[in-house]
Amino acid sequence: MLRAAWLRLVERARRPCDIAWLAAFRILYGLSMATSAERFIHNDWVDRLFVEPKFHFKYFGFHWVEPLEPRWMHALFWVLILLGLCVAAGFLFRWALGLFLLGFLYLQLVDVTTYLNHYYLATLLGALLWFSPAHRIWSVDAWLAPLIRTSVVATGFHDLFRFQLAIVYTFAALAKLSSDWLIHAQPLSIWLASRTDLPVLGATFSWPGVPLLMSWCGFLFDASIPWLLLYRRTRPAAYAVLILFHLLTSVLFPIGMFPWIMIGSALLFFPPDWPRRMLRAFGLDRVAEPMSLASSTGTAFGPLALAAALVYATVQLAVPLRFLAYDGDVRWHEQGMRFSWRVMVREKNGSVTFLVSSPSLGRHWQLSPSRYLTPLQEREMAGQPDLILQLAWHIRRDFLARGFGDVEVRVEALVSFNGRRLAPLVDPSVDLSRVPDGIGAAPWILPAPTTDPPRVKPIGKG
Amino acid sequence: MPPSGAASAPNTPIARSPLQASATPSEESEPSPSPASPDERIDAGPGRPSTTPTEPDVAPTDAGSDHPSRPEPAPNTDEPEPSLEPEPMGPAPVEPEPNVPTPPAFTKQALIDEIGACSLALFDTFRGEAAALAEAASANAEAPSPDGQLVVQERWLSAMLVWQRAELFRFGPAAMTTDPGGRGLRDHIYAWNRNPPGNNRCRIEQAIAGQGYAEPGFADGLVVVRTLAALEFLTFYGGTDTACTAFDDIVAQGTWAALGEAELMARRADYAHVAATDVARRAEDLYRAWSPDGDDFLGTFTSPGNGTFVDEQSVLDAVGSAFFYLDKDVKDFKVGMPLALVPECPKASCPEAFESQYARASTLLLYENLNGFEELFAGCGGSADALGFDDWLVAVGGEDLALRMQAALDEAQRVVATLDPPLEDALLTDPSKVSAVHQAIKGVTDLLKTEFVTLLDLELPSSVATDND
Repeated sequence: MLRAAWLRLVERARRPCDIAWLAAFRILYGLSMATSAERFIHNDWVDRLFVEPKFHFKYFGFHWVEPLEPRWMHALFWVLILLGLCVAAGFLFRWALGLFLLGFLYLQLVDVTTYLNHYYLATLLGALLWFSPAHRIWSVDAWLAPLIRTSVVATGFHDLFRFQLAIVYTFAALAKLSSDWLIHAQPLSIWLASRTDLPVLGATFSWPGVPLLMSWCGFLFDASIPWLLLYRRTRPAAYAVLILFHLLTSVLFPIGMFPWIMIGSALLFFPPDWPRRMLRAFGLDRVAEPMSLASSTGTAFGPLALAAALVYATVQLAVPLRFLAYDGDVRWHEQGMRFSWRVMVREKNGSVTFLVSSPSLGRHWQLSPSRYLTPLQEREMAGQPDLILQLAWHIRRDFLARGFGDVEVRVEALVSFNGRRLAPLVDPSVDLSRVPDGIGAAPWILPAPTTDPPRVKPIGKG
Repeated sequence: MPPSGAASAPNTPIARSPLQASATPSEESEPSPSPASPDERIDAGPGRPSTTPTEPDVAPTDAGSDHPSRPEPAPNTDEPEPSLEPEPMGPAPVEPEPNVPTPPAFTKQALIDEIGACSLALFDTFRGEAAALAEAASANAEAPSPDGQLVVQERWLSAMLVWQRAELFRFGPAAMTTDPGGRGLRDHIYAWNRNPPGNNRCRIEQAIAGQGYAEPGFADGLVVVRTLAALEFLTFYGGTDTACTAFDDIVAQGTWAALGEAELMARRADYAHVAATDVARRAEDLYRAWSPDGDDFLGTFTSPGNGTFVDEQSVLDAVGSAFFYLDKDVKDFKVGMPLALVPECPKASCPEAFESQYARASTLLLYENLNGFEELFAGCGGSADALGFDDWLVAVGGEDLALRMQAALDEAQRVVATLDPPLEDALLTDPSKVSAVHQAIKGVTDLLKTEFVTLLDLELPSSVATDND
């Protein structure tokens, strides 16, 4: 029976389908990535996020990743723009995308506080794209080397991309399965309360029940949209709703390219030939026509590729579920928070003081994180215990380097979680500079507050 | 209750001012148990009851009112404070107020209008103080005398107390140029940037020796040799020594030593005149930048939807950012640095890091910082109807937080007001009292940095708005 299922999977994965969807996705991906990189330059984020910080938070196992010199950091973003455009044009596709992904991955590894779910998604989609033959149609590569042209691609690629998007929405929905979101409309009502200035819509945010209604709409949207997009009859309406939803989020929240990436990526749920249909609709029949030359290599998706795809899918399912290995509320202790598509489900602000003491000198210091961090880094760190731990280690090293000898570093971290009363996030009696970093349970993180979040009343515009 | 011991021990041989005379019974930095004299009273300017060093303590929390724990307006009395004992804490009996009309529903626009009006009034008051300071400095420069210098000292302290409230109003033209509407004007009025003024004393003395203050480009030069910070040194320090080292030109070439005491006094008076005139000009610039008759930042501020502020929330974000002065500048530097809570102080304590080194008015200045915070938080009119961020908290359902923040602020004000002796002396005699000040201010800033910014969803401009998800 397992063998039969395997064979059915192999059969489905190998089945050829129109490659037009993949080429369109490549173009959209390349353009959106180039735009993302350009926004860093335009908004002066290169300096603020990568150059100005004196200290960078690192991912576990990647402490060796260091920022480039400022001029090279700026140059990297220009290179990423160029590479993004090359990807869109399908010029030296694998080289361009490979280098782009290396550069993009490097930037994410430089500082954890720059982590965003959509950067992670972009990295995963880029990796999938790299393995695909996305440059074999409507590309400079295919124009320069006609032999690589093809009209078809294995359905396995299409399924894999769809799976990846469905994972994002599904886990985003699961993350909303909490009383905070579904009963108390938090943190959404906090955010909506500050957006009543918004023309037309803003006034409605102060109506009773609207934040809760929007919370439920968000949950139901995330939970159902992949399925509604998969089903042919509901697909057009679902896509219209998806566009509305993401446009609304882009107006309400500073989430940058995320809505546009999702709107573009959701086209993956349409039949593979949707770009040709669209081109024909615009009278571009000649461009839309499938090529007469069909290469069989475009359909390659053998058992090995399928096995790799299944491993990938398993990892994508397991990583967001790793929070189950830890006790407590993941939104509080953050163990299992990243790479889990827990999009916008918590609002945390903290007041963190590092209590440094030198037993040998008999001295005590109280340090504000702002000594070491930019305001953005400080804000991110205040709610993430693993980052607090990293700074405690850094402070110990810093004091050692300043000639104060070995010191102990304890932390008073008071955090407000989804508007609740401030509560201590970490045990202030623990010398964090002796606690090893790692992925194991962290007993030095204190339990989350158990009280309900406050009820926030958005106020109308005067 | 106001802090005691203002200007209690200037390390200057000049005659004592009424301030000093009333604050200390002796020349040196004795503990000063006596309350400040009525002569110390400072006019707080329009729109606010007189804030005087003899002002009674803030009112206890008023848990039953619509405005959580609003301080009562300070009576503008000429009677000196009869007792040094702090007012009892805890809820006060609530007077029934029949026939009081229901206040209109809170709106962000109303809060913005109120803050705008407060800002304009505060900067107007300050320009008046700065003009009076310049006038006094001018008179003393024309005919330097101990009495003239005393008048300059009084005017400096008077202006400084107003400015310390204005330090909390660092949004708009006073803010850094990277902030919305910022022109960096604050740094031209008071260039205390987390460094003790003594750090720049040699530069000021170089300007005295070389008469750099008389050169045409002086007003556009280094801020550390201008502003109220330099004026404090010029006005309150009467010694003939120099902070410059043997490697500095004025010492190596004997320029400083060649200045006699009388010449030094005359040059300091001249310099103070130039610096005070510059401060007065900058104060005028700041007022005009806000004034509807000038560059009308008030219009920009109160009518969001322009190139500076996209909406009401962004205006309040900018004001919310200004609250953080209490955390970084006041808690960490004005108090934390002298307490040696940061490694930059290499000793058990660093009294030389207090803000007011020469007038020794650090306690008073700190108290006015807290008052400035309160004006933004609870409203600046002093009346129960004055709109502040506490009203915004109440409007969004954060009554409890508004009460706790006001209580924490009351406590911080009480601890500073009842500090005896003043900060400079307490650090040497009983550092735990200074630690109590630090802890009390932290009680406010902890709430500020956590629940306050969360509940009002304040995005602080300085935290650089990047993408999110």
